[in-house]
Amino acid sequence: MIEPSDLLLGGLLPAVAAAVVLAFVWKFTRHAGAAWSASLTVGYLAGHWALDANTAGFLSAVAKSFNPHEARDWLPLAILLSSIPCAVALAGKKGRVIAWLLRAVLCVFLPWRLLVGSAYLPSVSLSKVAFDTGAWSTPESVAWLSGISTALFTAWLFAEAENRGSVCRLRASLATLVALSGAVVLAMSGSFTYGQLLGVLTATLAGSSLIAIILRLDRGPESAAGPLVAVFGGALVLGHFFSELRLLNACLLLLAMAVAIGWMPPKLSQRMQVSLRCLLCLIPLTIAVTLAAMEFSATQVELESNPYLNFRQ
Amino acid sequence: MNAPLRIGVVAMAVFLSICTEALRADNYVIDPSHTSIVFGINHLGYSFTYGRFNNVSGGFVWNNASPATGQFQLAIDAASIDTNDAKRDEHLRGPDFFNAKQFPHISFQSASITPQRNAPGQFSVNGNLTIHGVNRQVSLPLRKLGEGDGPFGNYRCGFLCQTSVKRSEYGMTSMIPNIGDEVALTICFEGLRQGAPSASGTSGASGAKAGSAPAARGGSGAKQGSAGKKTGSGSKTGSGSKGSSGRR
Repeated sequence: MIEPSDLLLGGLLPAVAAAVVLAFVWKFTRHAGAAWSASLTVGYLAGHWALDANTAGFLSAVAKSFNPHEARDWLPLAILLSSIPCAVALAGKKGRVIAWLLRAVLCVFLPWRLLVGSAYLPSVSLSKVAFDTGAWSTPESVAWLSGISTALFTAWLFAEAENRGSVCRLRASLATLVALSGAVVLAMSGSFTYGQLLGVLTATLAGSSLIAIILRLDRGPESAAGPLVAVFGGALVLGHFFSELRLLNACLLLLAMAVAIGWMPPKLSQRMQVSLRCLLCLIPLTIAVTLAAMEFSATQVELESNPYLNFRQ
Repeated sequence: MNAPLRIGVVAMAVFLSICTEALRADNYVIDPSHTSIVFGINHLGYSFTYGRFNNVSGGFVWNNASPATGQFQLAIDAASIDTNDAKRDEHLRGPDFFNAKQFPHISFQSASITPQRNAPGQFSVNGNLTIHGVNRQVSLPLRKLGEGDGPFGNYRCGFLCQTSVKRSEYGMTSMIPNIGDEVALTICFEGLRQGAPSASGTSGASGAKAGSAPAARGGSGAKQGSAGKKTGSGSKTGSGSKGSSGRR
């Protein structure tokens, strides 16, 4: 159930924070990459902490990010860590090499950190209890973590490879649409909490995109690929393993986001690039949303077919 | 043997048997088929919704002569939640509530037991209750219902605990107050004695009951009209307790 406070704290606040930070950083640095990274990071953190502060107080919400309890509490730290490679990459060729190593490390660390201690990768104490929690065997653990890390790293690589100078309006708009669709799919897949997180990301992207378009930045959200992959990819991991998000839908959403902001063949004309990007982004997105909606509506039909629903004495 | 010496020997024998009896305790394994974990929670202020957990394991050590030396361990499979509505159960297992994939178990480990004065068969069990990965020290009221031989010759001992917890104290804040914060709990369990009986185990005699066993109430831990208030005697859960989030 969406309350007005959810829209305010998880929607308006991150959008405004992201917009303000992007304008501020652009004005003083004239570096679009730094502006996008800073705005996505600050916008998301503002929304995430504001939603947590609704029940626990602001300081407790911030403290929770540095002493995480649930897996979702790791996302603020993940977005902060993902900004580091962007900064390191500015330090010349050696910096770029180190930056890619850091990206690879983060892509391995993030899924492991989200899943460790859970039913899939239980702690020693959990593994001693008699119930079968569906813990992975060692080969399964390696396979799953490798697969997720590879997917995240590939998406990051694809986004970072985007040509500069191409139209950023479309990439920003598509990224916002993909994030919004992800929020809807997650909410329909059994987790309003995780849907809220992507709602915050949507608002952040919307605020940043609006200011970027107004200021005519030549770079889009791909310049903040790290924070975007960390939060979006992290939320998809949470949705699949802790909620009911299907693996197919998670892959389609990640693919849609990667295509929305990622590399297009430079030899194609701008019109062809636009068409191809839209096609390759919107098709998987539509499939994911449709599949989630069909499953969700199927459960609603089950409820309505209850013969006792209109019982009259 | 003169009288004082005789008296001394008898006294020594009585003393030794008391010590030995106090040291002996019986180990019990919880019988899941005769254990019920039932909860009730307020829905919109219009009704109470009841549910149960179907998978439970654990055990306890009990000494009738020295209840304070008893120990209780209980582990509940969070994913076994059952409210007679499959979609709701799926939601309850999800991240909005129990997050059963991340926190698969609800557990209790006792630290000490305090018999209630003027209430034979009733105790306060102090220990660590872990729900949703959050570990809190609690004091639970416990009533011994009875013990004796089962129909197949196994010796059984049963207890009842009725209390309430606030789910927000365990990090489950979703949909409060539409779905109540206070959750009434009824935990009724039987244990099967393991190994050879000790003197204290048979001191109650077969079929002996401690106090009167209440009528089965099944999930009526919360009375209608009293939004989720606990029933039974004993201290409130979490009173004077310190909480510490379990680190992942």
